[in-house]
Amino acid sequence: MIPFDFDYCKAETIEEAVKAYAELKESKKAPLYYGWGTEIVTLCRKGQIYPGALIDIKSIPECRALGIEGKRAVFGSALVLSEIVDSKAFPLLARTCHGIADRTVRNRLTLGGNVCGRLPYKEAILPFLLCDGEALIAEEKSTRWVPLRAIFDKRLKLAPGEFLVQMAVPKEALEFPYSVVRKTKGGRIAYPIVTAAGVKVKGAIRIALSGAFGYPVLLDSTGSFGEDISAAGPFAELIEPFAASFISDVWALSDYRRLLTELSVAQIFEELGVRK
Amino acid sequence: MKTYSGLNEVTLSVNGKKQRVALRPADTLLRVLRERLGMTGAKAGCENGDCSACTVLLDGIPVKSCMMLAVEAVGHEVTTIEGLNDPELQKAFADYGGFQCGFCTSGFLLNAHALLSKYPNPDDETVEEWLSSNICRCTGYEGIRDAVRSCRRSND
Repeated sequence: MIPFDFDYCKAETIEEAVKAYAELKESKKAPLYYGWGTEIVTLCRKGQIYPGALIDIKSIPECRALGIEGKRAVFGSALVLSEIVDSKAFPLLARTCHGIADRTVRNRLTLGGNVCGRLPYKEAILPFLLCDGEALIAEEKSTRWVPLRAIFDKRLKLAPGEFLVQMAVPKEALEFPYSVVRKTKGGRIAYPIVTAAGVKVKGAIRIALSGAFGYPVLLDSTGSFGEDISAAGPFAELIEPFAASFISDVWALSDYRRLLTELSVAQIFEELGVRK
Repeated sequence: MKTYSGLNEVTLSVNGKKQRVALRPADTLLRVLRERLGMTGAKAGCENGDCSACTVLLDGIPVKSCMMLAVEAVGHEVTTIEGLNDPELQKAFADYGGFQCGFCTSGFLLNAHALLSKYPNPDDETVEEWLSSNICRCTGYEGIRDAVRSCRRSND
């Protein structure tokens, strides 16, 4: 039971949603954008957040987009993860989302909810980080496409009133060879100790990680490893800036987490055919 | 834009029947089904999205009713265990010992019904994936799995 009240506004257009946000903020309602609520409802019930109003964006057509638009493969923020997995439109994204939560949760957990939520894992963002993804952001008077690398630093940096409408990758990225390795403590349905995802682009490997640290990470500044170098060498070098950041928690101490991360990355290198 | 504030009277379609009900936007579907509509088949287990004892179908898709707001169900068809009409599956649960204390059974039945509706002949991996959404604290997983497998169309 949620022991306090809030308003619920069902937006049909982007304009309605941003206008409602501005008005509700003006009237001190502490609004939140809302998908299907798998995280927000839980946090409300636990008394960890107290929104005064929820602005439901899942009926906005742009937030439900799935397909090719020009040079982009587009994924609406209100698509639920089961739809993304079942569509197989973007195999790397489908494979990554398949590991998140259980099937029934994925029937309601949205792409935008996973990427913008409070949990540190945000695994659905890994394919977009790896493939030069972009985000379509709604702001007060317009929408704008932004390279993900410009707006994602540990989390999606959205200004108050902005919300994520779509995410996209160049359509050729749908065909990149990929590998995803997910390690949990016990069963499959658990938060990851580490999720490592990799793609091979023009002979080079890119790696992104979730779970190892308190935020998702793309593992280098240039975006790729060379194919002709060993896995251990570049990994050790590139991981160094984060070496003190491996999480220690009830699921894995930091040293064990680092070991699993190294093994996961080595597995990706092997699966993507990099010489050892 | 439709806005709900305070106490609202809305129409929910539950098991094919339109029902008028007063609710707050903050009321979860689980609480409204159990406490306003008297449908106690959806169980309040963890109320944290973990156990799926509260599973209902929303337009045929299994969802955890503890994690969604009742107001979101307006305009959709809700199916609870009280409205499930799948005697073959329900008999299979009895025949294969697919329940013990029964607390989780309504959630498992609805999830399994949705699975077999979407994939009439699911492979073992798909059955495993779907059923792993639900927790049985009596650990009767084998009986449940066998019951669902027995209803695959390949068994005809």
